[in-house]
Amino acid sequence: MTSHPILIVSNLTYTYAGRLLFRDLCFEVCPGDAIVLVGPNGSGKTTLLRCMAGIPESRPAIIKNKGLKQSYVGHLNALKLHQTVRQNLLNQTGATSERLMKILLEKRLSSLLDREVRTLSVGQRRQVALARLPLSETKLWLVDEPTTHLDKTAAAHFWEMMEKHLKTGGAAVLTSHAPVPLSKTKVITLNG
Amino acid sequence: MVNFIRQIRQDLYRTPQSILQVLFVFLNLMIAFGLLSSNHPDLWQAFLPILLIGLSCGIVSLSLDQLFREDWEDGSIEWLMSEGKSIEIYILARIITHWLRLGIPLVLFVGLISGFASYLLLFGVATATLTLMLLGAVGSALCLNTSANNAILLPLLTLPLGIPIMIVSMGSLINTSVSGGAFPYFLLQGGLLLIACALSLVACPFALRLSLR
Repeated sequence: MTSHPILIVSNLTYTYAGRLLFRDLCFEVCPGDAIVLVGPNGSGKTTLLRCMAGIPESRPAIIKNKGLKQSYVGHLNALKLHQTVRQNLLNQTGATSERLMKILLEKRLSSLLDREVRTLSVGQRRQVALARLPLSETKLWLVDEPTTHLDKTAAAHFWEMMEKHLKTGGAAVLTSHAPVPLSKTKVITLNG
Repeated sequence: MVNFIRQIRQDLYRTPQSILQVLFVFLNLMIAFGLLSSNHPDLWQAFLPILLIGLSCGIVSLSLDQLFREDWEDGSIEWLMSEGKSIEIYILARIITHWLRLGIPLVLFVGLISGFASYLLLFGVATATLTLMLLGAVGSALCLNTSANNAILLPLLTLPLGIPIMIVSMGSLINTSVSGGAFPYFLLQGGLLLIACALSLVACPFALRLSLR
C-alpha cells in the first residue's frame, strides 16, 4: 500500500539578506518518514524547518494535508521560567494530567513535574520541551537539533520515542549535526 | 476565549520586578517635583494633574520594551505561530495583562498622590495608558529584532503617538476646570481607545511577523 504525503514542498526558494539559501526545493513527507536536514552552519536548515512550521507565515510552496497538525520544537524551548514543568506542558499542549504523567514517566521526567523551569539544567529544559511532541498527539514533528544539550541516556530515550512515533504512522523533519540513529531516514543536504 | 483567559492568568504571575522598577521611577520623579515646587503650592496644585498624566504616559513608554520581550527571547512567539494559534488573541491578552500590572498601579498611585480628588484624572490616566500601550505595542513588536538600542528607538517611535493621547487627556482636565463639560472628552478618549485597539490588532501581528523574518 502506498502512503499519501502529508506535506509537499514544491519549488521552494528562499533568499535571506540577499543570499540565496535554497532554490526550487522539492520533497514530500509521508507517514513513517524521518527527514533529516543536514548541512554546514548557516546553510538554511533552521530556515527550512521554520518555513515548514509556518513561521512567520505559511507559504504557497508548502502544501499540507487539510487538518494536519504539527508540533514544532525550535532552538529555543518556549518554556516559561516562572512556571512549573506541569504548568508549562499543560498550558501548551492541553493534555490531561494523566497523559502528562504517563509521558513524563516514560521519559523519566516525572520527578521534575512540580519544579519551576528556572531551577532546571539546560539539558533538563530541553527534555521538557521535547516532551511536548508526544503530548500534543500530532502527526508531524518538526524538531531543530533535538539532542543538543542532552546526555547519552536522554538522547537515546528521544530516539526511542521518535522511532515509536514513526512506527505508528507519524512523520518527522529534523535538523542534526550528529548522526541520527533511526532505522530509516531520508537525508536532504543543504549547502547554503 | 479559553486561550485568552489562560494567557492572561499565566501572564499575571510573571515576575513583577521590571514593573516595580518603572513604578519606582514614577514615585521618584513625583517626589522630586514635589520638593522642587514646595515653595510654590499653587504651582503644584495647578500642574499636578497634567504632570501626573504626562508622567504616566512616559512611564508606559519606558515599559513598552518589556511587552513581548520575554516571550520573544524564550521562543514562545515562534512556537505560538508554529501552532497556528490566534496571534491577535495573544497580543490582546499581553496588552491587557501589561495594563493590569502597570496601568492599574499607576492609576492607584495617581489617585493616592492627588488624594482621589478627581475621577476624571483617574479616568484620563487609565484610558491614556491603555491607549498608549495598544499603539506602542506595534512599535514594541517592530523593535524586537533590531540591533538598535531599544531604550532610545522605542520611545522615539511611540512619542508621536503618545502626544495626541496626552493632549486629549490633559484637555479634558483643563476643559472641566474651566467650563465643567467633560463629556465630549470622555467620548474622544473612548474613541481614541477603540481606534488604537483596532489598529493594534491589525498592525501588531504584521509587526511580529516582520520581526520573526
